[in-house]
Amino acid sequence: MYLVGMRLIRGYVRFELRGVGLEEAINRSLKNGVLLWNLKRKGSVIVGMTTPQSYKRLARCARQCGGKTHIVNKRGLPFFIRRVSRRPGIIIGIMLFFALLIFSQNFIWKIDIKDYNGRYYEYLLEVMNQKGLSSGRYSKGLDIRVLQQEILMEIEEISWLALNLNGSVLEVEVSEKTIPPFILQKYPANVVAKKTGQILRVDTYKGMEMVRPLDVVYQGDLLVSGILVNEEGTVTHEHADAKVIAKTQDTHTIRFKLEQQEPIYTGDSAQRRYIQILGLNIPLFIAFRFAEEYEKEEVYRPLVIGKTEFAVGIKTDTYQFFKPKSVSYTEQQARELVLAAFEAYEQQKSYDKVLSRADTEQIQDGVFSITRKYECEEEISKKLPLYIEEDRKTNDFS
Amino acid sequence: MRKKLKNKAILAFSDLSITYPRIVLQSNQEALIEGCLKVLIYDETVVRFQVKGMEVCFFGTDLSLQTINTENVIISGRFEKIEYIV
Repeated sequence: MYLVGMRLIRGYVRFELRGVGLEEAINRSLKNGVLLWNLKRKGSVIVGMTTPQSYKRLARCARQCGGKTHIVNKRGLPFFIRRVSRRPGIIIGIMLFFALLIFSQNFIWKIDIKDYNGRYYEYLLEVMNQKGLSSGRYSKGLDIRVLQQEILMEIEEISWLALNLNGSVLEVEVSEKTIPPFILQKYPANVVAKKTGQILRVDTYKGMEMVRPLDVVYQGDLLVSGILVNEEGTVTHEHADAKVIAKTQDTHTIRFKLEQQEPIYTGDSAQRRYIQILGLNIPLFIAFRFAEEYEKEEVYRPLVIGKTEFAVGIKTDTYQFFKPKSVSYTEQQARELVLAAFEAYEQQKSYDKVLSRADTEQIQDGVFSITRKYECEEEISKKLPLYIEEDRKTNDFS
Repeated sequence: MRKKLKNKAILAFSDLSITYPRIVLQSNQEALIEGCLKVLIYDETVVRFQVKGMEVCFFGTDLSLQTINTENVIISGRFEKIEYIV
């Protein structure tokens, strides 16, 4: 390999030697210091290689022995330089290439977040982007250490972060905070009702119970007091804690338009490609507006050589064309859809137990609606800190 | 006199010997000939060299001279027979 490289740098000539006394020509050339390699006989011709400096001597020796030489081709750096010296554009191009290559090292080509795919991955990327750390950013002048501290302060869920600018790759190492288990707070607090309802059960863990089952309470009413008075009349403050289950009522309405505009896909699609360099999109098409309405899907494929991903790639936008069409729903169809929406709503609300449901249907101005009244069991306790000091802020711990 | 002869004999068969030609073979595909004086015949199937005190002839197919200079030759191809003509 080294030899091949050296030969390419020094240049070489591929020649043909024909005629009589070829062996004698070779021997005489060698005695005259001619370098020969890769000699191969093809019938009456010997094909081989020599240096540009030796070729003249080889030709002279061959003539003396009755042979004749002929250059097949010339390869290597000296011949390349001679060839391109007549074309300044190529030289400028090569110089420009190397200049751009060196200049490109000043940009962040890739952000490599190592061994982290946790909950805050997207948020981390967003914050980094806000701080100016994204693919394609000019990296000179960025104070990585300061940015590192700023990101750490911004994302409270991360305990440790290291930013290492390795060439044009920004390596990010992250460690997520381990949230300690909940520890009962020591501040004094009452338990109040967060919703109006009738008490069914009260499980008091700490504090003085102020309500009993079958009592009716309104939102904000005191359920369990954190102010305790002992037999001696001494007042103590505690962090009251209780689980209070009450029968509550809830009303929810879901509306559905009987005339809906829905996209009917024509089956036609179009693709538009861009070359994306350092976040800049260079279109590979002549832009014109589509006459039809469309839904766009973007796919980005970065250039990957080996395991290295570059900030250059092809972005493909696929447009699926559709025509909006007015679709009419019957009352039955609308009912089915609304009831399905109620199921999803109940799962989201996570009532402890639904005791009864009462539906009221209504059609008004082409809108079908169902109003459902729930009677259910649910936990209504909410902690409210006590005002011990006037300037102390009140927090809502539910 | 005896010591002188002994030294000469050691030198003749050691790696430093330049008295006799040396041929290093790699399977039947490549051969390095040290102490080559002349190429006598070069063909696709036969290559014959003049070395000190003898002639060496390689028979085979696709024979080519990878490197050649005044002392050493590397010959490659598929050798079928090597002949020493003393």
